[in-house]
Amino acid sequence: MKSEIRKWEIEHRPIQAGIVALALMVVCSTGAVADDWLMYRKDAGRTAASNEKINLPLKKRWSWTSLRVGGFSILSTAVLQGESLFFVSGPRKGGARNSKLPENRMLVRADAKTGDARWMRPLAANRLNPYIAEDIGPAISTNGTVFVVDQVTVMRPCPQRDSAVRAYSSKGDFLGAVSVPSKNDLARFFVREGHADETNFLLPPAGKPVT
Amino acid sequence: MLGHPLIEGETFTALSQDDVLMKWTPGTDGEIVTLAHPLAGTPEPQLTPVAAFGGYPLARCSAGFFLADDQVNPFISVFSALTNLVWHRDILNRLGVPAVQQDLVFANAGGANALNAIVALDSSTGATKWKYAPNGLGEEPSPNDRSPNYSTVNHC
Repeated sequence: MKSEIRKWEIEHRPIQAGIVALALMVVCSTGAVADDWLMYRKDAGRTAASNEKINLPLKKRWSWTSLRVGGFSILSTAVLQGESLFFVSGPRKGGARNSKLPENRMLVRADAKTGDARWMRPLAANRLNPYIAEDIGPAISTNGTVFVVDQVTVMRPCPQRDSAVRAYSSKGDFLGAVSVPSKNDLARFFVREGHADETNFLLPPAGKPVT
Repeated sequence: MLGHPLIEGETFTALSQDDVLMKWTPGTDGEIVTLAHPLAGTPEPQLTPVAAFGGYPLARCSAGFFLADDQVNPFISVFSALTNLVWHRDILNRLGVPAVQQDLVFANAGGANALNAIVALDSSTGATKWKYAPNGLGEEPSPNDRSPNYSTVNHC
């Protein structure tokens, strides 16, 4: 697993970092808000292409520095919708503290022009993956639903960390969450069509070899 | 851990670091399945190692969503639903993040970091439309015995 994660970091980290920088700098270049960038590499086709005209040189308008959470620095890929930027961060360094919020990793909606936080929602996991410099960032539907990847602890009977997804409205209202069950409770689909006369098949959980 | 999600309408779809493919719309229970790609001719395919997607980012194309595993019995594919395969193709090379434009899927491929080439694939069949590989794709045998089959079959 560790080697797979490492490979992911090598191949994808520069692109992820580029997206964070782009989202911030395009906003800052003209003072106007840029083309929406709703998910990793912009859209469902992962085109990473924008019609926005960028006026060079870019100038930094604002920055956001996260406090460490659980010993890890936290920053994710960022997405943009209208005048709002969404990302995952720890508490903002130098920012006002809200005693009602735990010192957790958080989903943040910030004003794209000023960097001011509109709302923050605490997440359960301190860090999705300590081997990767950036966390998996949020993604937004065109209707404004914000999806964020998280983890939950499930007792089976010992505590295990399961992947989870949370959804919020653009105003920060919680819409729901779902977690990935134990893999032994999931069916397995076998990809075979295309190999001579072989056919795909679905193995129900009860028929699977335990992994 | 889940990778970068694909959002279509109000639906979230993503691959995990390992073999999970998940689809969820708020207000529903969601659909989740694990995937495996047995090598051609495997006598007991149900015992084949599961996929290792590394959180590969899915990409929407006209026939469905493009999905790839370049780690365990590597393959590329398009699914129209979680268990509805449109086509799949065995590959031998590492693959980068896909990008879709009209009917083509573009990806960097080959070499340890998938930086040896750019390939353009027909999204409805998986056939290679063109590739730019000035120094070749390179040989990349995996720890397991990869299939030499480079066939492409359209299941539409």
